[in-house]
Amino acid sequence: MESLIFEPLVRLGDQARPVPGLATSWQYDGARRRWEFTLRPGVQFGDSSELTPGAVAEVLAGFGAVANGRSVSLKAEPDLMAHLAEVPVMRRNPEGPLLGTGPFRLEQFLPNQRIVLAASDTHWAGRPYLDRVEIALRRSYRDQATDFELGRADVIEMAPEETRRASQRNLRMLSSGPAELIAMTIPDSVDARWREALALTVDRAAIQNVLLQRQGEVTGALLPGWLSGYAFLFPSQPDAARARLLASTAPRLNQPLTLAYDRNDPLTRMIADRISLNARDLGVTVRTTPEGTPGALRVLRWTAPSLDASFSLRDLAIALGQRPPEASDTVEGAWRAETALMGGSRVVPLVHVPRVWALDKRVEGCEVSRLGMLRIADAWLREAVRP
Amino acid sequence: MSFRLRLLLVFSLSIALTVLAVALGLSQFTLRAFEDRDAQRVKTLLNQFRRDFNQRSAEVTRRLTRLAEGDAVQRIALDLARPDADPALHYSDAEALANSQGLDLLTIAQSDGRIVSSAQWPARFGYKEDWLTEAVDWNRQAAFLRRETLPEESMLAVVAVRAVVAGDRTTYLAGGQKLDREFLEGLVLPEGMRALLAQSQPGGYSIITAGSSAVEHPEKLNALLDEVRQKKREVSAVIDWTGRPADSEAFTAIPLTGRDGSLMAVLLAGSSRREAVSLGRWVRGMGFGAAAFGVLLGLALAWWAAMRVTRPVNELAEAAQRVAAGDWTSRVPVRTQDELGLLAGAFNQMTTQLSEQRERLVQAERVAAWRELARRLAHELKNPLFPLQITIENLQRARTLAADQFNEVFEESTSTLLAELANLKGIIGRFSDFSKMPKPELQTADINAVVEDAAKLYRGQLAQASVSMQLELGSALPPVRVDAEQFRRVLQNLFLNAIDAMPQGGALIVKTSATGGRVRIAVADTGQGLTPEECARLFTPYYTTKHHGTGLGLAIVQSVVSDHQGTIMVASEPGRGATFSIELPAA
Repeated sequence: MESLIFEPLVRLGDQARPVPGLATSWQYDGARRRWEFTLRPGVQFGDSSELTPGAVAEVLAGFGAVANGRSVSLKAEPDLMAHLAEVPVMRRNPEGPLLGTGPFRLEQFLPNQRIVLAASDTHWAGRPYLDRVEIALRRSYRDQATDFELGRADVIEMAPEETRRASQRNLRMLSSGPAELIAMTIPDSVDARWREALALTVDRAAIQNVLLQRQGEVTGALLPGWLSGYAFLFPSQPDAARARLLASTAPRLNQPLTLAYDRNDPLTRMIADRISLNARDLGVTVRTTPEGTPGALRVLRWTAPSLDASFSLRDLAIALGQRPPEASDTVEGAWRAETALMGGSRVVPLVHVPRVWALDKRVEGCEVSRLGMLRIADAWLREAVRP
Repeated sequence: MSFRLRLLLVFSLSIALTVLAVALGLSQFTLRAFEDRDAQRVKTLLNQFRRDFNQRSAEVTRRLTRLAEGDAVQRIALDLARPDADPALHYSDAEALANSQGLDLLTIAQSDGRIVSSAQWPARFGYKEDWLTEAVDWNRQAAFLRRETLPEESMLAVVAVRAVVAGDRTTYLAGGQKLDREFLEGLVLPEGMRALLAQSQPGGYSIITAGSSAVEHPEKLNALLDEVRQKKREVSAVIDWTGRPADSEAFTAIPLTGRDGSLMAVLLAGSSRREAVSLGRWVRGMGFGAAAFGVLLGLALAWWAAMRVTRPVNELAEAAQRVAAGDWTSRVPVRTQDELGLLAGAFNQMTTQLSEQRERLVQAERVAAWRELARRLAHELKNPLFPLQITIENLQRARTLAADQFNEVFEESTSTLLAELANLKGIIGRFSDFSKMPKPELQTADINAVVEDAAKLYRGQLAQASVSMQLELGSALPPVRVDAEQFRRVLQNLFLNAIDAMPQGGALIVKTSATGGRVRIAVADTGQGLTPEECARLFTPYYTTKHHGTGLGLAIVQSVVSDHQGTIMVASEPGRGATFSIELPAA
């Protein structure tokens, strides 16, 4: 949704390389200490004010931005491009919401309920086909499906486990590759042997095969293989014998473990129940609960924010409350960082699932990124009769 | 214990025991009646439970059969029978199917028992339920009781199984309904009864109750439940919840078994004993109250009876005692015409006759005494009178003699006359003494002192007669009221008699002792003794065994003792001495 209102200086392409956004080109300075970004001309904010280097520099002040003519120079830092791709350029509006340069402007915002976007007539890439986009917030998968069935929504996000049934009903869907990670986190308060035993007892295949209806892929890695290139190096098969051995040597658990899931997410609940059942085979009682307490295990869903592996891992570390690894632009560096994050079975990757969007028959022109983000800036509607 | 008190006790105890016996009997009868009633109610409850259980079983079977024969399950069975079957497609089917038939449990399993979908435990897909693949014709089996394991607990359920055959594959449908609080609440329970369902679980039992009333101390049921588990049959016991009998509850525990006969749960039918205990208490209370009333009534009756019966009896007893004490003029009032009246009349008649007889006896004794006195007097007087007569006749004859012979005879005769006249005067003097015995002047004295004074005077005389005197005087004797002078004369008389009885010497023992509010003085000798006839007449005036003496000594002794309100007795056998025992009342 942000991408419809705000735009960054650069975006990351499918190869995780920067592609032009509000900046048309960039180059190092002579000392290779700063990047100089040339701004795209004719870009306006939603109130028709012009995008200026000063405005950009103000937003990117944290990167040492300095306006310079029609360009903005920034300090050369590792992961700069990945960062820039995540930082939208916006301007404060004393009379209303923040102003962006995207193809749509914010027309109405009801917190936790609805956002209404109106097409920007002055967008540098041309006015979008759609006049207006209404986005309903905080709708569960089931509610979205109901809205879709009743014709109250043109585009919904589908639960990956519903994809199979949906395709049997010939629904139009857009699906990313396995982009979203579903994992189990185990706090340090649990003995390392128990952490490893639990990790080895989880039957990922059953989860992917049945609970996810064969969507996504079993994984032992935090980043999907297509993103990191080394996911296959992390084992994902259960090892019941080793798990039992570890359990037999681990100190006795004085009370049952608690595994928390998102009460609004049926999938995480089903996964939590299955993990609890696997743990029961090990002789460990794991109680599932929608409420988490400090020290509880959790079923986590996380999508990499960027095609940059190092950047994404740093984001995950922050999300897990761990110290972010050092930025690295090498595969080996990313692997080390990922290994460190998972060290001691604190994070147990289970599956990578795609993000799936169902589209009404009249919607055309939508795309989904590799990371599962829906792009509707270029969408348009057929003149079809609504049911 | 007086007659009146005995009568009182008899009346009171009779009434109290009768009432108590009735109360206890009634209490037992009441309890028995309650127990019978409880047994009947438990039986009714059990019948109701069995009926409801059978109904539910039939319902579960019917619904599961309908499900198994429905299109949805047939499609699932077909899908699963395909070579390329993907059970995952039906992972979430069980919940919807269960809801459609109102089942709490539904498991869909493949031919090998592997779970395809589970409504009650969705995560259990892929796990095997081996019991489903037992060689059983499930479609002919009725529903049965089963303990279903869930993530957090286990649930008791009525379960049926149906097998759906498609091709060469079988799909199993195991579905059922919970046997829980709602089921118990469907039972119609009589007042004061409740139904519990106990499921055996690791670490104890989990108990379900109908309604909102929880079991506060469920551990108190453990012993009963264990017994049912061991014996596998109905067991009854009374559970004491708080230590107060009114809070106890009589339970009948019935084992509920599964298909294989293993114990699944225990149905407990509890009946509060509050009513029975309260009633029992009330009955006992009333009984004790009635008993207490009976005691009071008994007291009143006894008092009335005492007034009616014992008073005349007491009057009779008192009169009899007076008669025994010598008052032969005692009479008792005759108040009624019944037996007591007759008895009183007879007593009065008896005492009247006794008085008359005593009068006559006294008269006779007086006559006898006068005769004896006259005889004695005649005898005593005759002796000196005969010489007097002879002497006077001699004098008359001597008138014819010469003067000098007449003077000699005259002197001799006058001497004889004077001597016999003196003798006569002595005899008359003693009679006079006996006739005018003075009334005793009683004063409180120590009898030992009196005895010692008397003994002191006669020590010499006794020593001369070779009679040894032994004084065995008791200590701490109560004082007596005596005329010391007269009593000394009594003792002296006895001492003299003893000396006369031991002409060859012997021993004289004087003992004093206290006995029953009286003081006894015993004077014993080792003389020749007395015969029984002599003992009987010893105290009669003028009776004597001696050749000398007037025979008044012991009569005087008896008279003095009698004037002191005392008694005197003699005990003797010939050759074995005699013992005179005087008893005087203590002051």
